[in-house]
Amino acid sequence: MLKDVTLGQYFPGDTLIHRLDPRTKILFVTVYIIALFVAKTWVSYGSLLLILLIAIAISKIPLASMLRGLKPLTIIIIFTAVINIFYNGEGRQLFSFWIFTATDAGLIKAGYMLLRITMLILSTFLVTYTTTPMALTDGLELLLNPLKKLKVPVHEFSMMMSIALRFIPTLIEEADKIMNAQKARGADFETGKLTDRAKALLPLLIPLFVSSFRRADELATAMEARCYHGGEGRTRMKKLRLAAADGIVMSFSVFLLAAIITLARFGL
Amino acid sequence: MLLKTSGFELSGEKELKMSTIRTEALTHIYSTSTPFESVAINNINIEIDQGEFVGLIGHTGSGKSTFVQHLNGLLAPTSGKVCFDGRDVNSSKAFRHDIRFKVGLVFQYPEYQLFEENVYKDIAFGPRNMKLSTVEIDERVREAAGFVGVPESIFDKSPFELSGGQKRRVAIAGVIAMRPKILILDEPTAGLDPEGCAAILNNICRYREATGATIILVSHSMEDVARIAERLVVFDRGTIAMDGTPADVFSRAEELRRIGLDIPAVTDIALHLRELGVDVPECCYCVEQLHDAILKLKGGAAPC
Amino acid sequence: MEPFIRVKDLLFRYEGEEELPPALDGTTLDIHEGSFVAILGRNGSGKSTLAKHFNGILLPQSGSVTVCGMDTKDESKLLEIRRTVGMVFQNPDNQIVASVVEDDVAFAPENLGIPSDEIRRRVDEALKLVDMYEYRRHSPHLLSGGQKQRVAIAGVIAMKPRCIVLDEPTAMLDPQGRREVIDTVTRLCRENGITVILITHHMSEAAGADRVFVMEGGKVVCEGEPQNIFAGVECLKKLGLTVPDTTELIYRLNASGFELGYGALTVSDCAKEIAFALKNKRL
Repeated sequence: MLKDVTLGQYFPGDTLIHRLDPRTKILFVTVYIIALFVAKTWVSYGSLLLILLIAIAISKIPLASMLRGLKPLTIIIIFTAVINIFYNGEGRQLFSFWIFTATDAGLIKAGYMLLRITMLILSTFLVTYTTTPMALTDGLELLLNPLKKLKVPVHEFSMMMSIALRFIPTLIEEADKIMNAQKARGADFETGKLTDRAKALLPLLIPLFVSSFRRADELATAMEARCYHGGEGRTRMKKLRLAAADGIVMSFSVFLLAAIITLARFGL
Repeated sequence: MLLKTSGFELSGEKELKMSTIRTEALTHIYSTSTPFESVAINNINIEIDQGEFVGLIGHTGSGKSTFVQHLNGLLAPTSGKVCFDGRDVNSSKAFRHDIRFKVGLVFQYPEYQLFEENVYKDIAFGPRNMKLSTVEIDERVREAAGFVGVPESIFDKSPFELSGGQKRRVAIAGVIAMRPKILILDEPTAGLDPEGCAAILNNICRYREATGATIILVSHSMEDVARIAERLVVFDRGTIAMDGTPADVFSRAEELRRIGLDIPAVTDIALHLRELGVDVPECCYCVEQLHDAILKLKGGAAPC
Repeated sequence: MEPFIRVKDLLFRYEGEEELPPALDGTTLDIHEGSFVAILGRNGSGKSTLAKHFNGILLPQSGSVTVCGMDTKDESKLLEIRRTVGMVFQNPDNQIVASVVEDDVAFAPENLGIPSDEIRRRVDEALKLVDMYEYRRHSPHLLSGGQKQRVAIAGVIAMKPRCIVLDEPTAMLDPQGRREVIDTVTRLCRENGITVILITHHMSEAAGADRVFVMEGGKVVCEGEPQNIFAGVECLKKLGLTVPDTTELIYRLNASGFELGYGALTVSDCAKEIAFALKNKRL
């Protein structure tokens, strides 16, 4: 039941997007998101959307899967859009009740908001769906490396992230098992008031917490037994190497940002 | 330890009804209409009477766990029926919820589900969910603890302070405390050392003798199951391949091997002996039987 | 010849257990290179505690543990000791660090600072040795227990250790998984010369060992070849252990007047032994 949740899953493939260095992808998405916030009208949004769709097409990830991934976030998306219908001072009034006043400018703004959030999320999906968790954390670690000079524990942070990602499916499986075992003793996770249901979660959360601590302890021992001693002197089997494609994509992202900023200047 | 069998005959009932669990064409398919669709169990027809001791064996993935979760209403059939005492388990939401108290299911490594502040409260969790009176809950907790050898001196301890073996006993007590008519145990001896294994199996046998409950033991250990079960049901790829007494089932060694299951070492020895021309019965499955059979062949010859 | 691992008068108590008898109470044993050793004992006998001393995860409070002449208490040698003596644990899930099989096997060599190409070679070799090469790009959580343990073993082999300690590696596996793991380590010992130390309470797994140590109360109470140890059926039962059914049968038949040898540990050997005895008695 819980197993059906696809959390930023990896879709194996050998497309151009898959083969890009994770650092390139992270940087591109960062630039893309900035561009999204700078964009003003349909010209900018339209070009950004086009680029996104082309990238998705190259990656061969089915658009349907990506849209399905939006499901858990629909509430946030819709809520943000709706807020904008009402909280936008300018424009011709359409209707109003109590303190809410909807305007036509607000409606348009809401439309852009909807688009912006959707494109933002989809662009991050593009990265997580085409990059293995290990490559992602490696890329992030390399990007954040300069912070080591400021005593930021970059390696430890990256190791924590990759271990956490590795254990997500395992923990989900365990949560399922615990729920079934408690249900077999009559536990009810579905009925009752909100407070009842919160209390009913204790037989699930406590064993899960306890077992997570035990897991962490055993894993730490196993890592030590395999000579783990921190980030000093660690090498990597899969060294991240920047290729020509990476250079092209990174240059393109700089150009894209510049272009959008320019368009915005001209009110487009 | 004195077992109060009278305490088990439920208040008000003059005689125990012959409970049966019966399935008709029980089928369960996971992830229907997706590319990951898989048939876990297919067309299972089986009848288990009150008081039987059934051993359920089969490969990992043969459908044993899926099957067993239908008996207590955790899973609903994709098609087919599960009937308890003649009534369809899935006929109403209430009945489906209540059935878990009549058919107790102990999962593998049950000690990982302990959560209460102390042993007493954890064992009482099931009876509490049954909305019983404090007096009734207390009686049941003490009775269940007695069956599995959990001393009252540890009732106040946190379950997380106990040893692995003790935790497992507490977890099993938690299910027995619901006084289920049918007790299903999924690999109750997994991960235990030989002493621990023997102790748990002993407790299960004593529990059955005292209460007349039906026991379904899901196991990978041929030896364990051969020793204590009266009836063996063999699962293979979602269907029932064999259903009979241990002697019946183990006499079909070839078939068992083809399914990918082992036969008890003793049965294997008996088969080897037969190949070498020694006439021992081929359905021996425990050391005592084979020992006696070999002695008979030796006749009254004087010891060397 | 100097033993590969030498344990002398080992005394160890866990933190918070000062009032209880020590987990290890004067343990002494030697392990020779290239051998397959089984350490048997019931839960609480100290076998797992002993295992964790072989690679310095735990350190003795008195007494010593020496690996290839290196004392485990010497901090400067700890990394080298752990590279020499690798360890596989009971829970298959809680020793896998990465989301992809080959990344996990690479973990140890990466910690040792080995160059990328060499790591790649070692990972491929290790996976082939445990017969999991075709699963190298797979996600570990979709594997069976036996497969996960084999990946863990590969992760240790990638360090090119001289010895592997396995702490109840089959306790959480089904019969097939158990077979896979025992077959794999037996092969690693016999064909690749890696010393194998197997901690277990399954007698049948110890049957293939060169030497068996039985532990109780933190001490080694007997040691020897499997058949000699198994012959002490009553003694083993008192120690909370059982014997394989083959040995049990021979034991009972001997009590009833037969004179069968305890060397017949496998099913076919046992049957042959009995058949032979019966034929001779008939004459």
